[in-house]
Amino acid sequence: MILFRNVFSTSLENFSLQIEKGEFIIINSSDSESLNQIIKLLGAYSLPDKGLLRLPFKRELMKKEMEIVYSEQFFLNDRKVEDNLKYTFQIKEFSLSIFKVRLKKILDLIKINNCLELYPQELKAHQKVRVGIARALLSYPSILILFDSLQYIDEVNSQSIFHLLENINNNNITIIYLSRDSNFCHRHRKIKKVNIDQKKYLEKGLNGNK
Amino acid sequence: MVINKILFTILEIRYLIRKKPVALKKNFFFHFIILLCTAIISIFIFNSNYLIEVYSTHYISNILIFSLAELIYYLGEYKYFFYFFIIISFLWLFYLNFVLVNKLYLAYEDEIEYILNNNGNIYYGRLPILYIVVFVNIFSAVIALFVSELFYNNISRYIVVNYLSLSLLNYSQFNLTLLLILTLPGIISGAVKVYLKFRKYLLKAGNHL
Repeated sequence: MILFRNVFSTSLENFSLQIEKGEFIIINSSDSESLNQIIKLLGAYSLPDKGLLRLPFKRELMKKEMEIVYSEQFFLNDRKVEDNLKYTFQIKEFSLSIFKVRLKKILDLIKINNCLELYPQELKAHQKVRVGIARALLSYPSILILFDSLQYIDEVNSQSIFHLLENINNNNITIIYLSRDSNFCHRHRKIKKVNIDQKKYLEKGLNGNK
Repeated sequence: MVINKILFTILEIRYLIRKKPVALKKNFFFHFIILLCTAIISIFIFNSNYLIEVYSTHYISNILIFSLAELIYYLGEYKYFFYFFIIISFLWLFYLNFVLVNKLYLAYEDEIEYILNNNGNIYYGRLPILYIVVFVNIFSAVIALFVSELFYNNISRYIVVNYLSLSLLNYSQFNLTLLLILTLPGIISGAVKVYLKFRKYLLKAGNHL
């Protein structure tokens, strides 16, 4: 369980939120700095100035248990997609003898069999995101964060990826989606949503009236 | 076509080097120190074997004790030049390492960025740099030996000019068997230590599941 209670930091003011294990949540705000600050607090890169923050793991382990997928993803252009995935597996201190077994499990969830033999330059935008999610899932994460990763993608592909994320969420992985669009919430009504801007706006308005 | 083949082989080697596992930062310095020691030993051996031929009345080869005794005898007279050439060889090695490491970091900048973005171990980025630098150090040690020999012989004025070109190949001047016997243990011990560290590292990673 992740718990924010009256947290104050550089861009967050009186922020309180509760995320349980295996939950799917969308967080909205127009400021990208506040979303970045949430990632820093979750990954224990920075501490809050005031308030309570409770994380499910120790601060050293949170970096390993948490995986982030950004909108613009970085690949090594010299080698194929499968070699890129293998390289990430090697970097994160896993033995390569397990790689094929792990890749099969991920390919059952995310069907990117056609992309494995291609170079990252040849991939399309929605394929890059799918490969990025697969890359994140390689290292057995318990929390998956998507930082506006469906920003530059069509609505059809974005919805299919969103359904894919729901399937991943069924495997007891908590998913946190951080988006700048306020309209992003309205498409998916079943999932829990939080808008940071409204709270901040109300507080500022009340203070201003006083 | 030949150039293309050469370039392809170089790229292939580069790709293979990337795949290999990493050694830790301590081992990097350990390897470097060992190579410096081997350079010193090789210079000592060469000089000792050469000096026997010049100074001693009876030529003795393949016996280290006599050669060292002759070397000590020689150092009493020409101390200044001997240390001067050792310092040059050291400086050559240091220069190569500092320049090469900076260049190789630029060459593997993408991999290092990739590792930092994905919260990986940074030591995996330093792996290919380590392997290349080790090869270069061995190469540089040989060059330092050869260059020091040339300078040494010219300034000391005991050499005949005809011997300069093929001085290393002459068995009487330069004893290759002695050099191999004394340098290989240093290099092998470093390689074995790196391998053992890597093996521990793999076992640790395997137990994660």
